[in-house]
Amino acid sequence: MRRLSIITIFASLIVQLAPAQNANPNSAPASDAKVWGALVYAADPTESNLPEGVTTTAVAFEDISTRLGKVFPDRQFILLGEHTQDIFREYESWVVPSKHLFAKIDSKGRDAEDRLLLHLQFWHDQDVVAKADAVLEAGSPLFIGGPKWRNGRLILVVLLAGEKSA
Amino acid sequence: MNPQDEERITQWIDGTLSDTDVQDLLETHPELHEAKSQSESLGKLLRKELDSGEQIPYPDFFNHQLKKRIEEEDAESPSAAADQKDALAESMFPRFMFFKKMAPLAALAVIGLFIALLFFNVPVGGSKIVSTYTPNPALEAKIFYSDEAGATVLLIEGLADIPAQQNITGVQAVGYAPDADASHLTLYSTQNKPILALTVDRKAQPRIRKLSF
Repeated sequence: MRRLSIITIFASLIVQLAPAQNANPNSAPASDAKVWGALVYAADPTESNLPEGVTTTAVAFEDISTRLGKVFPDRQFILLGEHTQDIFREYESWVVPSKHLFAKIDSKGRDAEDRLLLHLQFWHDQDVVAKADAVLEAGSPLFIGGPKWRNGRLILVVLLAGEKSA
Repeated sequence: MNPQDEERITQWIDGTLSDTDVQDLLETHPELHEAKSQSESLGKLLRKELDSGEQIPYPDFFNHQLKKRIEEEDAESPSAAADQKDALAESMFPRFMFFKKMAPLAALAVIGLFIALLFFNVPVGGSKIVSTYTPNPALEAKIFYSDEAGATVLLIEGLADIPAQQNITGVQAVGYAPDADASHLTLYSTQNKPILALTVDRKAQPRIRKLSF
């Protein structure tokens, strides 16, 4: 018990000394993967007065909007927010492209085929809308269809970032 | 079939019968060729499908459905003639009759696995959702895999619409590192400026506020 307390205090000290990963990436906790999360508005193409989207540098979005079109036909896709986040090995990780719709991810590590096993919670404001056990494979996104808004629907996209499919 | 032959069949199945004896046995009972071929095919099929490493989604439900199907099969009464034929065959080839009895069950297991994979739309490759749960019973989660999109889709049905007048905005964030207890997180912009603060309270509820625009 005493030994456990010492370890806990020591671990706490290490983590407290670690600044944000952007400031000093070397001190960031171990990461199992990087995940790109995006909040996309699948809008009616005839809708005027569309919300302002963000200008993305992610090359993934052009490909993702084409793929979204296969699942949600006759829609136009506006990227409202995006967040690329390390998925930490021993911490919960939050992917927050928007304060309204976001995800909490707990990594369960990699499987033999190098896919990321995870537990995902899909949040809408203060509510957990859905929980899922999932397997993320490079190049294959998850589309989570959320609430309807205006003349369309909000979609959370989750994709392994910076990994090429096998 | 004499007891000696039965013993030789047992040794043959166990792989301990010499080649000469196997040849002699097959010459005496040529019908064993077909039985052997069937059992080998069944073994290969089972190994291929059941050792594929594929996770069965909702295993309890799968087992329940499999058990139900087996019970339904058992409930169907076979004809008396078939019973007599089986009884005769069993007295002659007890080990092979075991395989014959197992064949429908094994086939059911394989078919059941395919049905489960199709029913839950679990893709063979690509990302997948193994299981879902919606805490609010009024909500329903639908999962399917789109081959065209190469994506797994989780649709949450039953959510209240967000009022049109509410403004939904997003951010461009690139990451954070958790603090000691992961309760305070600061998300950074691509310009390395803090843009969102996320606090997780004692009830594991996240509170998010914007720091800058």
